[in-house]
Amino acid sequence: MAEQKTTQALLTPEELEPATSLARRVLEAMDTILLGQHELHRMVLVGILSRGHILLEGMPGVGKTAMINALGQLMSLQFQRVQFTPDLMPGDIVGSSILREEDGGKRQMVFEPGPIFTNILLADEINRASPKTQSAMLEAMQEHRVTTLGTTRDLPFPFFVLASQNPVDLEGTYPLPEAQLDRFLFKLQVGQPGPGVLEDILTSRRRGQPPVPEAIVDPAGIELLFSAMDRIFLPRPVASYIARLVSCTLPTDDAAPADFKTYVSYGASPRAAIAIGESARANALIAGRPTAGFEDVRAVAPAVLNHRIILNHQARFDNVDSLQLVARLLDAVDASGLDLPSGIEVSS
Amino acid sequence: MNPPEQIGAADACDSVISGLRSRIIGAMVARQVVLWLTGFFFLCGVVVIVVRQAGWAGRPVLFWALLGAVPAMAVGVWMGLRRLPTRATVRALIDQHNGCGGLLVARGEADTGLWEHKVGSLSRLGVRWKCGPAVSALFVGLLFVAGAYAVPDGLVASPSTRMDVSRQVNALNEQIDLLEVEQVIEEAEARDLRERLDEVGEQARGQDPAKTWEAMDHLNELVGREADEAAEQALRLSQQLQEARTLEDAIARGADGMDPQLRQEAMAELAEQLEVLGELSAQMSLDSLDEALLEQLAEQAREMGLDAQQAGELAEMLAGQQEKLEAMMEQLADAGLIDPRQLEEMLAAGEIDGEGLMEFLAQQAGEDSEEMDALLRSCCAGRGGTEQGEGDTDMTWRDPASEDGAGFSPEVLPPASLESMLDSHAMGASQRDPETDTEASGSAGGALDGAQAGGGGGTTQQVLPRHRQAVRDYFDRGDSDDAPPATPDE
Repeated sequence: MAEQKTTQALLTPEELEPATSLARRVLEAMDTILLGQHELHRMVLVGILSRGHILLEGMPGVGKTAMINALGQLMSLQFQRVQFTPDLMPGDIVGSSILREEDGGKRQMVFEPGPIFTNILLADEINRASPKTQSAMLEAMQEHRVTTLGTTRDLPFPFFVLASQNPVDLEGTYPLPEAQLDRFLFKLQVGQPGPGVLEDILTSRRRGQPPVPEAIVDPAGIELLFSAMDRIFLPRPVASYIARLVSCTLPTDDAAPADFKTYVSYGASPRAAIAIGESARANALIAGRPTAGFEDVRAVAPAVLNHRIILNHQARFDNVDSLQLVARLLDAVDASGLDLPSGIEVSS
Repeated sequence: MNPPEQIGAADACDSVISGLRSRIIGAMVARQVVLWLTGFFFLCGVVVIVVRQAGWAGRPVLFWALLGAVPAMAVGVWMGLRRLPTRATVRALIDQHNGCGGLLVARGEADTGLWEHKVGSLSRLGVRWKCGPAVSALFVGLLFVAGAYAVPDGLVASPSTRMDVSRQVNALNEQIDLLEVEQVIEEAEARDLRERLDEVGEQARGQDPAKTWEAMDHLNELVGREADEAAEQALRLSQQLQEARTLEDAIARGADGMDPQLRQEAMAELAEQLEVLGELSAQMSLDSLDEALLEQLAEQAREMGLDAQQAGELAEMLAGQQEKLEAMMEQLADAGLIDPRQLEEMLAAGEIDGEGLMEFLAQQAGEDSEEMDALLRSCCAGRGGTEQGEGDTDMTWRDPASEDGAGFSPEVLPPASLESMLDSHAMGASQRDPETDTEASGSAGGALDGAQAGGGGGTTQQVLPRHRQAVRDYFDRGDSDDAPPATPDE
């Protein structure tokens, strides 16, 4: 019986090259605007290409807002910023209906859209808002639409939430619940720039003002990027690797590493596997490949998994954080699925 | 392992996959074979020890168990091949190590023809097996199984199942060797005894020691009986030698002054003695005592007597035979095969009193001397005369004495005093023990020694000749009435 082989057409080099080139130009531009954060920029771009929301965590003044602002300008996307405070109400974000008197003296309720009706929403210090306000963003982040007074309104395309939170000064804050954390594709750490980078900033930036970016990506370019993303191929062995990785985060899984059985209360959800697959595709697109590979998975897995793994009290006692656990997971799970017995290893 | 080697381009992917797969298979099969062999060796060692301890089989049979290494290796190969990685898995491994970005693993699902240049050249991957611990364990297993075979039976045998009679077997073997060397038993008989002894040693079991000890006792008895018979024959021969030597010595001493008739009678007696010696030599198959020569000497002694040279040669031959008998008895006694008293008896019998006999015969010249044979026996130590020896032999007490009663070492009585034979007449001689009337015998031992039931009177008491004088002195009160009565010991 002849084996029926179904093959999928990959992107040709000619089809992929414009999208890759465009993405790299955006990345280079971001690197010139915000110095010393290339990896952060790459991951943010991967998140944008994956159409995911990103949670940024870092100290004040490290350039989170400037980076998101620049990204919006580079991609010709509308950008809104909301400073979350404890007294912020859901209506302040999604908008509200107000009574407006028209010229004829007739009064009617008119919906005034909130700042969420934008392409990129920077939710600054999102953990300072009340859970009520935080949950108002759930539907918007997942469904890309909002409902007020029984009326559902679609959000503009594309729509991204880039939230930030401060790891210090946590008094009076409301930590994001796991359900909301799961809706963020990545949680990225925004680190402090090194002395060399600071020196460059001081010498090249007057009052620290970055250069004004010029739009690189127009709506057609966004469409090009997204359509290329849709055609990046995820081979089954790579999908299998992602599935095994995510399964191993569950402490109840037989194949889970010992550390996960010890320190993890709840593992990653299937949404995490989907997120890894999508972001691996985006990573491959930026790398100029039509297929997502194992190295793409390894590149994005920490950002996808670190906020989805719920640690127990033992991990706090032992000073173990989720990034360390993800690193151990990547070491423990063989990408190829080759189950070699102990003592035998393949070396390059 | 092989260093990474750059080979061909993506077209050579299949060969790279095949090569890596072969190396992985080889490593896994080798690992499994080592593991199974290690397990087999440890298991085999345990089985060997258990079987040897239980005594179910001997070491030569157990060596066949080592053939089990072959199926163990076969199982190892099978187990290694069972975990054979698929080509897709190996392809994924190569993709991962070469950073192909999924292009290699996508080949089975998508047309990657336009992207082959991105794959580039694939490096050959090496397979490393850290075999140190496994090989060490295999070596330890080998040592273990070798030790299980090499450990001596005495250490591995369980005391509850195996009985160590090796010491007794060795001692008995030495006794059998001695009997064979001294020609007490034939070679075939010795071989048969050794085989039976080995069989007893191998089948000795702790569960039923009585059987083993019974068998050992039986063999001991057999060997002892052979030794006793040999000792008895040696004693008889020694006695005969002693008589012949005494007579020959007496004849030689009185060669000039002896009455011709007496000399003729002595020669005739010597001839008879030599004939008896010849018969005994034939019975005992003695090489040193030529039967034909003895017969020839006996004939010559009977017809014309022996000259001085012949007498000297005869004396030398008889003395040599006596020495050989003594040496044999000494060895048998040293090996514990005979009672040392038998050796002492023989050594004492070596003394001859040819001069005494010659003087006695000279006094008897012209009288009836038909009792030559009895006279000869009287001249031999331990045989006694009419008074059973001089009766003045010292008692030698052995030290320390046992609690059950002090024993004393027996000593052979010296030859009888020939003067007492002057007025005696021989009624007959026998080598058998004197017959006793069991019906008339009294109680044995104690104050009532010899007393019979039913009121035995004093007239029925037996008074030994040596005590007669003491009894006579006791009742003889003629000189002094107030003299104290003498005790029987006086």
